[in-house]
Amino acid sequence: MSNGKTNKTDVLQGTLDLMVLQTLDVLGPSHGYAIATRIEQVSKGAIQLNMGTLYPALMRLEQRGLLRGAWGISDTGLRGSRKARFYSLTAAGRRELVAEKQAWNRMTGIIQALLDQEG
Amino acid sequence: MPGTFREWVLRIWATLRRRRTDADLEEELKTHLAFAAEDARRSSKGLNEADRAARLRAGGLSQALDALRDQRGLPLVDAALSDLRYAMRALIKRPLLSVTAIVSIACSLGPATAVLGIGEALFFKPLPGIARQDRLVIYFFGTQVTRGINPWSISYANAEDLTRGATAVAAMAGFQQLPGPALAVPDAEPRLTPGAAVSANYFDLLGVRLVAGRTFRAEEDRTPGGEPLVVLSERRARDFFGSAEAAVGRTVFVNSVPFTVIGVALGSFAGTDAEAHQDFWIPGMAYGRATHFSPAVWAHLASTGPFYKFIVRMAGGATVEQTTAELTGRVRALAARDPRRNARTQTVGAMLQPGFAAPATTRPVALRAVQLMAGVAALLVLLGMANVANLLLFRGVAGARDIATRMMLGASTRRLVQLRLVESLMLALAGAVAGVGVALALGELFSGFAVPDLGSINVVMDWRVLTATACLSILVGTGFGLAPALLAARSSVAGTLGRGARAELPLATRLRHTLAASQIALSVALLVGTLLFLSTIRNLHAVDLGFDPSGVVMVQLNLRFHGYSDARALDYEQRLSDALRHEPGVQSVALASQPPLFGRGIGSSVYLPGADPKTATEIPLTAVDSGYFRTLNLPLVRGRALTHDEVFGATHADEEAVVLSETLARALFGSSDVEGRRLLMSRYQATSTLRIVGVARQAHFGAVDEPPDPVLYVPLTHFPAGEAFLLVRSTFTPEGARRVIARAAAAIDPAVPVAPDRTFAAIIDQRFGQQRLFARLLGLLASIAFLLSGAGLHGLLAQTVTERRHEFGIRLAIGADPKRIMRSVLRQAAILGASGLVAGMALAWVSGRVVEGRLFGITSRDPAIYTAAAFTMVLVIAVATFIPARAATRVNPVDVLKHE
Repeated sequence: MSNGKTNKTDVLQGTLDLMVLQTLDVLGPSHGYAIATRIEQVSKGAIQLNMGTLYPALMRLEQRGLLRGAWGISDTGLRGSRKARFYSLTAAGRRELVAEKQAWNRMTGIIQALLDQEG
Repeated sequence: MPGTFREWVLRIWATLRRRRTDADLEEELKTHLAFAAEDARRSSKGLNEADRAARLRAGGLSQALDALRDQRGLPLVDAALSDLRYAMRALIKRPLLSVTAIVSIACSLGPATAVLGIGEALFFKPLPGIARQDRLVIYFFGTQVTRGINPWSISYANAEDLTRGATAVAAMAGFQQLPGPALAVPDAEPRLTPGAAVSANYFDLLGVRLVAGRTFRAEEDRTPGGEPLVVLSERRARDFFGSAEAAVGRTVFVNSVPFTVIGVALGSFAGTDAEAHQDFWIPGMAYGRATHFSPAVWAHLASTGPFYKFIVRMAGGATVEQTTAELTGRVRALAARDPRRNARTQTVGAMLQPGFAAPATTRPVALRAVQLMAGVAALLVLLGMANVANLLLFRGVAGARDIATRMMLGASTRRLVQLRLVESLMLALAGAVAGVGVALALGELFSGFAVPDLGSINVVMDWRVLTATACLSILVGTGFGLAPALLAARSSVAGTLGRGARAELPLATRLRHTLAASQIALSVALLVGTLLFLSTIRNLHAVDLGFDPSGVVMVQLNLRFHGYSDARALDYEQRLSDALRHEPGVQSVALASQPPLFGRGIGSSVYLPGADPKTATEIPLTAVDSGYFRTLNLPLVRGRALTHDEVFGATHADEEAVVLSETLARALFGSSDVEGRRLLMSRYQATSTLRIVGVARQAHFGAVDEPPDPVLYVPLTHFPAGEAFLLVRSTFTPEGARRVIARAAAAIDPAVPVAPDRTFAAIIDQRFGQQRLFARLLGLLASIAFLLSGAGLHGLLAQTVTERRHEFGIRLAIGADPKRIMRSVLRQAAILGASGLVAGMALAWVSGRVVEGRLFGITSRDPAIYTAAAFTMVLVIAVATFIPARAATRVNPVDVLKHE
């Protein structure tokens, strides 16, 4: 991982990757701002990603071959079009998403079982 | 940690080739911000507020950019590269600051590098061509006297006794430099070439590789006279015969004696004497052959041994102390067994030789000298560091607002500190590179100087020295870079922005003022020292020698080692003088056993007839021919010079004709009117009568810095003629005169080489080498100190003016006279300068005593010198002050007020 800020981002990293992959699966090819906005909406404002967290994650996923990035034109409605970088899932990305979802479900199942034990 | 291998590969790949550029990344982020801003606007906030809110929510642009860059490639390398680029830009933007800093660093690291180079030459640089030098020691044997050890030679038999059955000593070989050897091939002009006589196992012991042929066998070095065989250096072999292989079996002449070449040593090997490299080696027993001793003497040489120095290779685990102890025990045993022969070699001494092992006792002498130099160099490094730290601190303070703003916008403290450090390191490395140039220049400046206990000064620049310099520069860079870096980190954001660019602690100010003043003081003291030594040298050259030295060239003849008997030598000298007298351009020629300024030489006791021989005084004398006084333009105040017959027929006469110097005449007889009087001289248990034929004007004889000695001039035949000096007064340059002499000498006997020519000015220079060295050294240090203190003062004042811009602006705005502003700046400079000047003079006053003994014609407290130094300093201060003072008056009040 990148320098210094290990603790915070380590914890976030795993879940962030999953969130991004899922969002792209749902939205289709999107630019970074759209991804961040979507995640914020779905989480009802609980997760507000700043640029310094989101974009390195996108780059990392791209480096791992799970995403493909390319410049394109975004339709911003009122102000006309603007150049933006769009990310889309690759085949490997889709496979990874499936694997991550399974792993997540397994993990939550185990933890739920442990928590249910108590009391 | 980057997870997959693929990610790593991509990262490395990205670092190496074109990848998403910074601009590309920045554009993506800016797009994000734009989107965020639009959204914020749509949700009906005010325009600017919306933007700011969007920005804050999105997080800092620079932070995100940094994070992206980190992710893009190998973080360390990327950060380093970008830091480097940024630092470069920052330094180029402020050229004056950067250049001043680099010059300061070069001036302080340069001398440090030079000292490292000297240390390397003394302690580390190994002799070429020798294997496993750390197991070798050079020993010599002799008797202990107060000033050290008086060395003596060891016979072959004794040498064997010392090594037979020894545990610490694995092998021992002797070596002895040959006197004045000339090497020649048939039909070629002989050249003075250094060479040595060595024992048969010399090359094996050293592990020297041969390029052709073989080395000596034990039996070739066994009988008196040895075998006339020689091993050449590769250089010499190529010179003479074109290649090493061609040399084997050929004949060369050593001092006109034929020797056969049996081997050629690998090119880099040049003997075991660090001071004088050698080009050929003969067996030890052949020493007598090569120096024209008669065969009877060869046997004597075998029993006393020709070697004064020995190389010892220590056995496997032995230490130097153990080896020395073993040898000591054995020489003592030898002395006990045969005191008559061996008493003179009871003490063992070891020599300091770079690359070889040596006991701790031999190093301290050279170590102390190097430590002294290192101390001075360290002082310069500290001065330079302080100077540069000052400069950077100034920039740090002035740029504090910029830093604070950056920090608000999200740059991390760590990055800023890193940036400052990288800048400092870049400056330091640039300064170090320039410093290497300075060090080499220093080496040139001081080459050829010999210092007592150190030999000649050599600055060696090899990879070890360069590495050490690089490390030193990194240390220095970190040292002076840390202060501004930490200042940047700790700048309180609010405080800095509020107070403008005037955040500085009073302690720091006082420190910088003290520093500036002490730099001035040091410069003044060094300048005084320099001027003292320059005056000394000038005075030495200005001494009235009593004769006219200009146009005279001296050449020492070395006929004894070329097999010339006395009679043959005299004949040679006469023929050479006659031949030269007929050359156009040669005004006169003379012969003398001891020319002036070569030291007092041999003395003799003379006394008046009828006086008690025991009252005889010892006075220096020199044997001369009839042309001596004319050649030196040394007038005779009474009587005449010696005639040709009196010079060359002296051996047959009852009395020797002599000339006295004025002082001698007056000392012996009370007046200089002594023509025809007689003197008695004791020689070799006999007494000879001297008849005075003339009195010469009193001139300097022994040394220039002592009162002129009384001298007795006797006929040339008084001494064996083999090593007389030839003096030639001509209209040629020394080089030209030498060529003429060489031509004439070759016409008489081509086998005898001509020694290098000397002039009186050169001799004075050589004898007072130490004073010249000090003059150069102090002059150099003074120049550097002046540079540093000038730059330091200038920087300090410029900073003060910048700090007080606010104050000046307001004062000018309300109508103050610009001259008063300037005066207030000047006053500060004057106070600094005056205190520095006074301190410097005091320092010079006190430390002057130390060098009093080396001065000539001037005392260490000469007022003229102090005045000159003070005047120079005032000039430098004025120049350094001028620009900032003028800048103070040029402050535009409107600018200042607007800025605040």
